[in-house]
Amino acid sequence: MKLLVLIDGSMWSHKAAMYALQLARKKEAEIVLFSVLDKRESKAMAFNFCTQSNMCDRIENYESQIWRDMRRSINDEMTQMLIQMGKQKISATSRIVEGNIAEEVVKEANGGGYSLIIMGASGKQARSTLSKLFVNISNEVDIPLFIAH
Amino acid sequence: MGYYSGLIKRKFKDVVGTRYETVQQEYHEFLPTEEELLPREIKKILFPLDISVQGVTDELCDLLGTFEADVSLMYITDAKIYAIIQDALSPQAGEDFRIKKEEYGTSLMDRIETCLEPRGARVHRRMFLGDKIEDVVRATNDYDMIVIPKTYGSHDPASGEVSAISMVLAQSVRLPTVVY
Repeated sequence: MKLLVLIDGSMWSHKAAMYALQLARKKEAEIVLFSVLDKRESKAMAFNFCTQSNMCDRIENYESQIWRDMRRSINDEMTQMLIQMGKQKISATSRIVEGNIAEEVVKEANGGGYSLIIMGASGKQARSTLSKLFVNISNEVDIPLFIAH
Repeated sequence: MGYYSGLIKRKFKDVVGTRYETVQQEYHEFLPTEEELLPREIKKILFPLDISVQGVTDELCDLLGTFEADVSLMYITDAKIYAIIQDALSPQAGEDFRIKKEEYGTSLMDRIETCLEPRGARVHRRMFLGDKIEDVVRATNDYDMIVIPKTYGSHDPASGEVSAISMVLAQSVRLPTVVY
């Protein structure tokens, strides 16, 4: 059994990873922590910052700094999770790709030989909102989706 | 230090310092507590079904069997449609409608039970006239997880797309959810 765990840096995706850990222990499953970084996100953050701070002359610098921070942050998250899984002797790897989040997740889920996708319920949104990603991918993936609440 | 307290400390406590309690309360919508981060132990699973659901896959049965839980199959026939048929045609026509739907329900639940029980799940059945959303949401209080078939309540199950009812359920419940 191979589990695809979607990590976006939110606390809910940590919970998803913990459910994956619980399942992997019972089924001796393999875990793949998967994250997609979308350049449009760093662009949007840089643009918002520049319009609110009136410092748009350095917008490209902000954007590349935000992008580096996003990469570093998700790398740190995944490293912590891999350490936690390693301690429990669970076979786990991580993968970070760049692109459109829904498209990359669907490509990975349908082509990677997975049995289950595990994701947080709300992503980076408020807890009362179901993850937009779920809405975007649920019709496109061929395998069951586990939503961690 | 436990994984969760370490995580919260790394992400928030170290950043907001002594204001952590206030921030935790004000940003409760985004910040789960340590208790909320703990995965739930899955002992009771709710599995709503209707005429639009075609069955289960072996992979899904493997997954549900993993929890060695009690799985409640809840087959619902739409009470409003039943009442409309009784009013518009005849009470007997309403009964015929219900019997036909429930015959399918019995055969569907037989198939699911045959798939789940050898994998360690204990299967229970319920079949009734009701509301496909309200009755399910109400029932979730007694369960640890829900399984929602994509085609549950669908008018076009052949499309295989997530039905509007399944989407509403996925958005309404606050339990770990499997959508297949």
